[in-house]
Amino acid sequence: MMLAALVLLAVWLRRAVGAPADALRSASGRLAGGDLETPVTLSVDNELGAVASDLETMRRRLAGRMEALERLRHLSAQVVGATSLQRLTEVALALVPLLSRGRFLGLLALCWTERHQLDREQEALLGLAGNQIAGALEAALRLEEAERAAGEARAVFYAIADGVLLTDPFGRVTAMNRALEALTGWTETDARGRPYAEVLPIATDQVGGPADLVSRYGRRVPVAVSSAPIFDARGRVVGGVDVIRDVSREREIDEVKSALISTVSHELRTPLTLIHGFAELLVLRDMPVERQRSSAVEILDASRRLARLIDDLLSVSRMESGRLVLDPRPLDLASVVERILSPFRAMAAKHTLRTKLPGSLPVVWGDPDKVEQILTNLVGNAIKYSPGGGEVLVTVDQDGDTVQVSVRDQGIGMSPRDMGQLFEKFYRVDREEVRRTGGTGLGLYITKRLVEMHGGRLWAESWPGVGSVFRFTLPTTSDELAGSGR
Amino acid sequence: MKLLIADDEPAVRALVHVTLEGDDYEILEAADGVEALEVARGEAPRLVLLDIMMPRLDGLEVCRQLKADPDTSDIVVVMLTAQAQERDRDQGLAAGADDYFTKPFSPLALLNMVERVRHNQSGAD
Repeated sequence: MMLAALVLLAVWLRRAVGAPADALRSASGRLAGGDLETPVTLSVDNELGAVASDLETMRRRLAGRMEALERLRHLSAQVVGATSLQRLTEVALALVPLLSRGRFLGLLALCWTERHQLDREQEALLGLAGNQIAGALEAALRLEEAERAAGEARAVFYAIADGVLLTDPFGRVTAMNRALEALTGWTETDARGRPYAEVLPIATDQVGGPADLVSRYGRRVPVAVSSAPIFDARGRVVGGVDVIRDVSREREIDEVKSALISTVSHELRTPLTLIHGFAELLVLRDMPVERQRSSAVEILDASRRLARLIDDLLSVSRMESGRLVLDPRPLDLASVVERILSPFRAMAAKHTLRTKLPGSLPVVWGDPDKVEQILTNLVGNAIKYSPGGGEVLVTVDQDGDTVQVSVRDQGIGMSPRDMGQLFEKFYRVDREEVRRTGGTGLGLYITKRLVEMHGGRLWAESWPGVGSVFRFTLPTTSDELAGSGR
Repeated sequence: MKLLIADDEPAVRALVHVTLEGDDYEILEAADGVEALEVARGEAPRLVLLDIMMPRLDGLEVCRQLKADPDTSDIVVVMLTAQAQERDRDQGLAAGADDYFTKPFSPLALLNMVERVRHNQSGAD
């Protein structure tokens, strides 16, 4: 009975302990044999099960370590392959990864030619050295990056088209770029360390007026200056930057614009003064009849002048904006000349108007209204500017593919100086005889533009006190004149 | 009373003529700045009406020279100009002008001003 009980106990024990213990033994055997792949599983709810679970945890950790080690080994093989380490007959190798803020920067490799085993202290030391080296490496990389950025900034600074000046907190020049060197006449080397105001003297003629930069050699350049302080990371002022832009061109355009407005305003106000003045006198004052009449004539003349000025201004505006379009067609120039001369003939008492036309003229290609306007203007000028009378001669000649028309007078003529500006807008020869004619200063400008729109050329020759010749060309055309008698 | 009108526009000179005529004024004329200075120095008028935009010498300069010369500094100078911008008026007054008329101006206002000058002159005499 006792024996039977013992046997039974042995069977139970064997079931409860013996089989799991065997499984555990074979699992630890696998581990010891180097198999880290096969998981350790033993689903029994007793101490043996707990041991198996611990064994499995150890297996996973070990497998992870081994994988990392394998990667490191692979990496070191690459390092050794890529460097002269290959030539060393190293026996032991220690590798320390250089990491900064999680970024892999490199690998510290130590080689021994004999067998070597790191002790804990050495290991800790190596780890520390790795951290230090990684920190230094990171700083060096950051410095390199900062230097590259500084190099870029320097290139921009020197290449920028506007003048740029850098100063220290005391207003002394620390740097200036090429554009500012050109503008001021200073070189950066000469200017460095000098007070700001010495290198960049700004002159203004009136308070709040435009600012001029005075160069080292006394040249004045209109400039626009914008300035800003330079702060460090803690918000302290460490210097200043000034950007100096040459605004000569803008200033010039402004001046031309305001001169034009001033001229137009002057030209409009003069006839307006006469209309207003004589009208007020007529209304408020008793005047003899003949005085009343002459005042009315003045008003009439001034109104015509005002209308002419407005017409001319509109023409100029249309021409300059490209809205004036020609309507060209084959034209019989000889008949145009005769047509425009007849009203002048009727009016001119002191002048003889003659024409010199060849027997046969090629057909001209032009806008009839505009060609009339060109001729009327030139003949009108010829009469206006020969107050003493004399002959006005209109000649037409063929010259290759073009026809040349000239209008010659025996008038007051012009100086070479006047000739230079003759075709400019609002240019009027500074002479009493010219003022008296009440022109707008736009006639010749418009005439020249009209000729050029036809593809022709307008020019003048003149001799003071002898007279002037104005010549222009117009293109000819092979087209037949429709319904022409010629 | 002798007065000088200096303006390069003949019609403006004619307007001043018609405005002042019949009132015993001796009216002298000049068509540019140089002529204005010559006439003012030679004829010593009581009053000069000066256009600003004139050939050869502008009105501001004529005014400055008249006011700088003790022989002519007593002459009343009135600028008569087509420039209405404030800056131009300030320039005129800075040049020493006594008064300023902007074109278009009222001939009767001009007449009043001239008569005031004549009145002051006879009072001073």
